[in-house]
Amino acid sequence: MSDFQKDLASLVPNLRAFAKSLCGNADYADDLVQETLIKAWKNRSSFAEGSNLKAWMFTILRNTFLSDRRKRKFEVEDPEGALASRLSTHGAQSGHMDLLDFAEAFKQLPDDQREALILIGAEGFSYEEAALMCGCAVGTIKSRVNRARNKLVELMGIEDADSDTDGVMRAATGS
Amino acid sequence: MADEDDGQSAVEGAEVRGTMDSLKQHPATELGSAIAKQLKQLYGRDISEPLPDRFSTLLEKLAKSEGSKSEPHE
Repeated sequence: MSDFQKDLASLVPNLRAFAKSLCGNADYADDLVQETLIKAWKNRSSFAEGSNLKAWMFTILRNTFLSDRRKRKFEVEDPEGALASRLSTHGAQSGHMDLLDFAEAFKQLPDDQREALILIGAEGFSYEEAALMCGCAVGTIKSRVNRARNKLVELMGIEDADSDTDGVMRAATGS
Repeated sequence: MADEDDGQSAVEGAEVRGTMDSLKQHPATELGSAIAKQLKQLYGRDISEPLPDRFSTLLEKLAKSEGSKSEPHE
């Protein structure tokens, strides 16, 4: 197995999770990942050795999703309740109710805010990397993360305190 | 196996419960930390899902097709 093949294989779990967060449908997410892998393989000569393969792959996946959505006029939704049903598997255990609350609130975020929160808070990309991936300014990503945080606070009915986007991200990245 | 899953879920549940308790009591920085933790837990579940064979099969096919192009006489 080539190094490139190994590297791609190692990114598949993250690509699937990111794809699910974008489209909200597990089967469609896997189709997106498959298409992303094929595109990456065909265009690997354009990948600069030593640069961030994960960011490159995420960008391909994101562009694939957006392009596909434009073509199909796909509406971002969770028609099968896939996320909710996965999270409610252990619903009888009270501890999971809080996580379900968070998941429900997370689903209600606008697409761009949810995406920014995933890229920065869950995947650990820098603001600069996320901005490049999303084709926007660094300040826009920071703003989206901050608004996402505030929206989560509002949706979960938690008393708000001062906004601290960098605090969220420091906590998320462990830095 | 199911028992192991239930046990793990119970532990996760306790962790989440603790996180939410702290989330409701502490100011901005820890609130951010709690949200980040919940986000990672939620996202981590998707990342840790078992992978379907289709992806390893696809990568092997891509590698083989590339090999057959570059080494036509092999």
